[in-house]
Amino acid sequence: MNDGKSIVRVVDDDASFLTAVARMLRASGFTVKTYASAVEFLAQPELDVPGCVLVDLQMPGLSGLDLQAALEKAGHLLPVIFLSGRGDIPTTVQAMRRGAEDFLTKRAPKEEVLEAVKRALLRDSSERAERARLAALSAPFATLTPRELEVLKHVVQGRLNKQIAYDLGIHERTVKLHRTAITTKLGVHSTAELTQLWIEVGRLEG
Amino acid sequence: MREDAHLHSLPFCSHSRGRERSQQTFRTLLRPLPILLAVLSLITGTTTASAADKKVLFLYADKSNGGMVAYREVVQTDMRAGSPDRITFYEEYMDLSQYPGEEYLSVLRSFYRQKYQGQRFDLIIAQAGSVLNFLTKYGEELFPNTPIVFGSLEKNRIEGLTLGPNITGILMDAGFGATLEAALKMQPDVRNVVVVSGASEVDAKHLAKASSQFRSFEGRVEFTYLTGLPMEELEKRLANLPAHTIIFYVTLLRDGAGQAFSVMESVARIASASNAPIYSIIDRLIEVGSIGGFVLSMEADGKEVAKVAKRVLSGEKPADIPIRAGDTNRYMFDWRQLRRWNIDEHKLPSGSVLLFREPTLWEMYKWRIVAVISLCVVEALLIVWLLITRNRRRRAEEANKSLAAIVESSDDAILSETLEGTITSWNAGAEKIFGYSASEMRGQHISTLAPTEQKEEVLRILEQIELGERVDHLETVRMTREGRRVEVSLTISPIKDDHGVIIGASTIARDITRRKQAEVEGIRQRAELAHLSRVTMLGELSSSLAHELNQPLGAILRNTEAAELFLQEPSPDLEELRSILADIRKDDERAGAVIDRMRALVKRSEIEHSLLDLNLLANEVISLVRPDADSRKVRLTLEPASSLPPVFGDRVQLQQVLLNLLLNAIHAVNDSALDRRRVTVRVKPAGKQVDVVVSDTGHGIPTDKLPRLFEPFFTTKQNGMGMGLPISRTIMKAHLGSIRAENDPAGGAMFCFTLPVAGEGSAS
Repeated sequence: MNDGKSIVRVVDDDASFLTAVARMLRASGFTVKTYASAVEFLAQPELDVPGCVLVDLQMPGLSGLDLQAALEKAGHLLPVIFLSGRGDIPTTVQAMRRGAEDFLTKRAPKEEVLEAVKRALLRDSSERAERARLAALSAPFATLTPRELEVLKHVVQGRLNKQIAYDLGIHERTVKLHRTAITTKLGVHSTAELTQLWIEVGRLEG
Repeated sequence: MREDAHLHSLPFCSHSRGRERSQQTFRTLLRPLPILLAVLSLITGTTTASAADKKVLFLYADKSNGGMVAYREVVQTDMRAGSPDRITFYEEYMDLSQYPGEEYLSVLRSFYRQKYQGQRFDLIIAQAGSVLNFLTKYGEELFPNTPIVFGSLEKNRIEGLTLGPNITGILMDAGFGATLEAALKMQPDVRNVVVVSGASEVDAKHLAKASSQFRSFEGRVEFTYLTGLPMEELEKRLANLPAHTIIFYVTLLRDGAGQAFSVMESVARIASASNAPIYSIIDRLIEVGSIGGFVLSMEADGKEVAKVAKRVLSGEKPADIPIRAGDTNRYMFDWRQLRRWNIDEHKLPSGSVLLFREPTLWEMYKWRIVAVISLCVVEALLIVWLLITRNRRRRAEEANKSLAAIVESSDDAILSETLEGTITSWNAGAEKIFGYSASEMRGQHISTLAPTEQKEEVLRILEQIELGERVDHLETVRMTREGRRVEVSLTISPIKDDHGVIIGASTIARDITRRKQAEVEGIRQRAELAHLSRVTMLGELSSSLAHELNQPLGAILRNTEAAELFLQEPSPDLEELRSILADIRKDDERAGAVIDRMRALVKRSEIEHSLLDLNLLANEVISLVRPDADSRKVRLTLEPASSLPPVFGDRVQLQQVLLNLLLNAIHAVNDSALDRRRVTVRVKPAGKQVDVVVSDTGHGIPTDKLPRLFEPFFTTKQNGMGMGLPISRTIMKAHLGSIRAENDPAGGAMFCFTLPVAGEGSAS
């Protein structure tokens, strides 16, 4: 996936290791950017650029885990690969639970490292594509009025017009009018189609 | 007629020869006087220039007796002394007491007229009042124009007489009052005075005089007058006198029954009958039982008379010599009576004469006693001195013997040498330690025992000894006869002679080879334990050490991989490859350094003391634990001292102590909030010491556990062995330093270890 757009970011306080890893990754055809600490990394403005992060688990100040947490909090969904000098179990578990892309020792074979980087970049790009598709899907929802959105929530739960009218305290006919507006705005042709779209977008919004 | 006996005639009564001692006393007292007078007369020139024959007639009232002989001797001696004249003395004993009456006097008159017809005397001494009485009647007829000197005459006795120009003499006064005064002083508790007097006319006269003198004593004492009683009655009355009573004998010449007595006789009777001391005023009565008093002294009277007589003989006219009162009375007492009535000699009037004093043994044999006692004392002192000397010598010998036994039985080598180093004595202990026998070593030089490199030390010690300095417990090496080296502790002191001059040295050498071995063994065991503890600590550090190693190893791996990739290219960038290789080398060295550091801690190395900079040492240890601290998010800071004297010690062991404290501290803050995970190491000089303080921001040490912190197997950690701190303390002790723990008032624990600055009593 050396598409030339993705950037592999390496964060390590050990300058020597940082240089070595960067050399190897560049020689393998990746675009690489290096950072001597988590703080330096978080301060850079190109976090939206696709790619992944290779970060040393043990660093003075902010550690690898701290970096991952900070990224998540800021809404940047770059995959994070952890590198550890020792790989003790509690730290590994914690990292994986947070959704680490991979967990490698510093002396893992080149193949493993490259594999992991490639996997991460792939995931990043596929996730980015998926996020783009869902964004397209969910865009029409923004055109719905609040009352239409309310009616929609009842509809996707399989409730009858009569029930909806009763729950919302409106006329059944009004419910029908709202349903027509909804299907028109969202470009669906059946209640089944509407429900499927709702689920897809809903997953996106968590 | 006896009753005519007058008081003034009493001095003529006999002094028995048996009382010679008292006379001797008198003479002794008087002996220097004539000489004195002679000298005086020479000076005054009163004596006539040419010698002449002089005749002096003594007229005594009574019969001749010892008392009178003594009296005459006094007068004659005194008159002859210093006189150029040849004086011849004539005597007449007129016996007037025995035969009173005019008839007898006229017989004497005609007798003397015939006897002394044609005789001419230069002087007549009339001894008593009755003689003077006779002379006033017949003197001019019998001894015309002859000067007359009288003595022993009471003043009232001449009042009725017409004394011609040829007559002069000495008057006396009866000392009744003075005697009573003395008696009351001698016996202050006396309340009653029994006054004894006879029935004769003369007795009455004397009693009148006595009672007039006693008048001033009325009120002080009670007077009882026993006058004119028959002797038997008197004796009865005097036999049972109450206490605090004295008898004052005036005179008793005739008793109430008409019986005549001489004063001597009556006093003797009274004395044998009475139960109280008898005071009187006549000296001779002391011989027959009177205690004495202010008595008329025959000797004193005689001297006074002699004085006047000499003036007359030298040509003075009696009319020009006034009749005067003489110094005739003396305080005289019977020593035996004083004892009988328990009277203190010291209460006698001053100048008192004591008669019949029995000299004490001391007085009799004073010089002999002194000599004998002195001899005894000298002899005793000599004996004591000899005993002491002998005892001292024996003790010294015993001490010497026991000292010799101690020296001989000692396991230590005890030897002595001269200041030049020649061995003079060598005990069995020395033979045992060094293998040489005493006979071999005596006369040898002390440096025989020293190995080559220590020979100089031996000479230095000898110099030190010569200066009077001691050598105490010097640990050094000596050689045995077989050439084996022995570790010895030497104590060497100067030996001084009797004058304090240093003449040699005594050496006590103790074989401390075994102790040294034990010490080495102890050190080895401690090192072993310390090593074990280090291995344990390293185990704790293993994951962070792995990180430390994996970092460079990882870098090497990545660089190698990169290089391989570069080499696959058709025209590899050689510059890049070169820098890769350089980096590989650098990382390899880094990894190697980590391994070395680790190995240094783990290896069983010899303890090696060197000068150490604790700043550097702290830095090394911190770099060892920093990865661990980092991974636990513990902020680890070192505050080094800006300038620091070096300490002396074993690098690895001191690192171990700090490492232990740091791991404990990191452990202590592990569970604290992120901002309370701080461990600080401070190095600071403190006088002649250097302190290294490790403080953390944990929960501190529970107070009840503080005292037990350094006990083995005591731990507050779940997986702790409880050996870290005890080992640290052992290490600090071996370095003459200390380690302590306390809680920081600001929170957290504080451990501090202290080492002496190198050269300030540090371990060598």
